[in-house]
Amino acid sequence: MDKDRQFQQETKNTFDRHRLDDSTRNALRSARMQALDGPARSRIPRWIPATSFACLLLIMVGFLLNRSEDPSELPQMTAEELALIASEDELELLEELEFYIWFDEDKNV
Amino acid sequence: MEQAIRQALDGFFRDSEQKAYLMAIALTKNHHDALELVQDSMLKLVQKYHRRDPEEWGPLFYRILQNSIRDWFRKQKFRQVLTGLMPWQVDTAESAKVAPSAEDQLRLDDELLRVISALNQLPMRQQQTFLMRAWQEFSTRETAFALSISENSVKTHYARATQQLRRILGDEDG
Repeated sequence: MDKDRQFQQETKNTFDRHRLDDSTRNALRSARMQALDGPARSRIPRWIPATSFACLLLIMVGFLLNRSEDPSELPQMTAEELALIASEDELELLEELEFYIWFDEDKNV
Repeated sequence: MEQAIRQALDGFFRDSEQKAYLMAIALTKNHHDALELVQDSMLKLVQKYHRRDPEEWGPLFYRILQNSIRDWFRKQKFRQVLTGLMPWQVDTAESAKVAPSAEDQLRLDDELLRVISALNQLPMRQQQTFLMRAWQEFSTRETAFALSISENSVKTHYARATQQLRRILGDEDG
């Protein structure tokens, strides 16, 4: 076994050896039960949080542009951070399609 | 939901929940958020995929969890930006991010905290890839699916993460 593989195995053992405390295990059990029983139905339509988020982002950008003419005063963000904030990950249909393509290919291997 | 499916899902979650929680807390360093992320991922799997072949649940569950964790980071970042705009507000997100809280430290043993602390020094993708490959023992292909990246990226992230972690934890040759 090479050194990298050995290290990976040791790290796995560290995680595997860890036993969660009773309170966390109970919380997970309760989370599982709630998930299996289904959520309490929300009265807020699903599009409202996404729309509010987009509006808030627009207001924030507008505020930023008006507030300061000196770019050095703006909060510093990398391109990766900007992409992280701006992206919307609710691509569930795409997620499903990708999964079936992947699962099909995997079975054929 | 039929009883047989419910039982199968219950068994699947029993097998996965502790690993999922540890993965979430390793990345977020927040006990309550980690629990919430795991519960939300369970809920999504039940709502959207409970009728699917149980063989599919593993990759789907971890993909949902990883997306939720990414979303969590996005919200944290957004809060930081807001705080930058409103400096009079207390930055709770930043203070929660720095290190495991005293409460969280009590829940994890020293050796595990040491590994997690080293892991947190790596870029996010490397952390996720390392946990999926080394600990969950997902294949390159399964990891690529769970993280929505290419298999080549998985290989690169995994190799870099292993090298970096060995260096940080003092496991290097010589």
